Amino acid sequence: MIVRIAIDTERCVMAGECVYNHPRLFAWGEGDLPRVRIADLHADADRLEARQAAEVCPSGAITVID
Amino acid sequence: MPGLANEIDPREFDSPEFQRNPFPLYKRLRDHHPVFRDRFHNRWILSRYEDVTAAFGDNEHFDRALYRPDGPYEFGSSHVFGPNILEYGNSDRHRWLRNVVAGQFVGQSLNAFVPAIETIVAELIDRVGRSGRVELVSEFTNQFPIRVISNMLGLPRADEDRFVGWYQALIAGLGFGGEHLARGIAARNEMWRYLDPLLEERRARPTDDLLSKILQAELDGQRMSTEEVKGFIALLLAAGGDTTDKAIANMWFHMLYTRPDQFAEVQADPALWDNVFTEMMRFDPVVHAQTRFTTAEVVVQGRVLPERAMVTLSLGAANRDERVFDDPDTFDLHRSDLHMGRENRSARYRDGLAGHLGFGMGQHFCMGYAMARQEAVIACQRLAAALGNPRPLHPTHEGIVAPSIDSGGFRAPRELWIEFDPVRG
Repeated sequence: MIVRIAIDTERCVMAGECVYNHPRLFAWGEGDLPRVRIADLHADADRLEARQAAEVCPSGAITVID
Repeated sequence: MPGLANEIDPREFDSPEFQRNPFPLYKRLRDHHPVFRDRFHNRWILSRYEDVTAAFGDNEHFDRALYRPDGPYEFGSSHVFGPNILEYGNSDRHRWLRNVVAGQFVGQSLNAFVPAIETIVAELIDRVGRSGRVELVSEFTNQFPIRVISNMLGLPRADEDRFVGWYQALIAGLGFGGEHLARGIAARNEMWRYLDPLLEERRARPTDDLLSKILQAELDGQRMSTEEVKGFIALLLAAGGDTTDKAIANMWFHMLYTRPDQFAEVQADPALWDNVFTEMMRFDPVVHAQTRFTTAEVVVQGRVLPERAMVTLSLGAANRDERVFDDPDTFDLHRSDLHMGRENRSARYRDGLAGHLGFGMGQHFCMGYAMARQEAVIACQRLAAALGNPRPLHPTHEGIVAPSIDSGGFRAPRELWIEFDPVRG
């Protein structure tokens, strides 16, 4: 099963929760918007972190697709 | 003696004048000593918006904790709370502990908790009664957020009054030292003994409360130690209780005394309490300063700060920086130069406006930012609706105290008396 993270850049308010809390998975990208660093999440720890990131994202811009 | 008028004697920071009204000194710092070397307290002070935000955002040079050569940290609150998240600095362990609970205080989890917040507000308003006067701090604000956070943790509601007592002793101990400290530590020990069987029970039979979540959290297969769990609970009670409690008092103070004209607007349109919260967090937040330690030499405004220096980031001063905010000493709900509404840790907003720094910024940005706003706004709206025509009681009475900085560094009124027409049925 492949798990991926999607960021809706229209919704994103650039709060930076994902970049600060989960630097392995997210980084600042172009236009002051975050980008995903790991395309496919295989490790359980990564999936847990991705779900935590989606949970705390203040704009609900992060979805975890599995 | 020309020139000396702008000199700053560091003992001014300990004066009653500063505790009552720090803003003139903040302005002297910003204008004449943006990087102030305070030899008396052995620290540096940054006060301009530009420098404070840069330091908050610079994890490489500014750490929340001071690491000792022989141990992990040497800072502050563990003597009262026990080992807690604030002391893990910028480390991965801090990040992990934070991620365990952060989701509870925003988004869907927060929304799901709103009915409980409403219930607690309604109960407290009922207690205020219909006597036509209320001392808001002791009868409401001191009681409210602590009940919310203990409810969220899943602590028994029947024992809430005990938690209120313990929490007040903890905060006094942290802030005032001396015999308050001894009482704070005694309260903490009593609370820990109370928690022991409760923690055992939740470990054995987890529920969906925050306590169970903390107990179950794992990092690399390891759970938090019992000491860490207890320290975390003590910290959450204090951080989740004390600050929001004082924020509500500051909101009411500035509505009743600073801008009664704008209070009339808010009474007509209660949605404006959201703006009251935002502007209060800029104009007179509960927390006026945050401490950082330099991890390496760093240059600010052309001056060199050495490694392992203690740096006070004066967000109270930065929030009044005339380089960023027009007419900064005016409380105004309709500011066009302040980002209104929810704040965030990057302090960057799509509207391009500057945000207040009342919750800090960067890695240690307040975890409870959304919850604090939600609690404060709901409480103010329900109170304003329940208290008919609220007005300051005896404005010249000596019991009326404007916000002042206590020795714990928190700024709020000690008492706030309100007179009202009892209108409820």
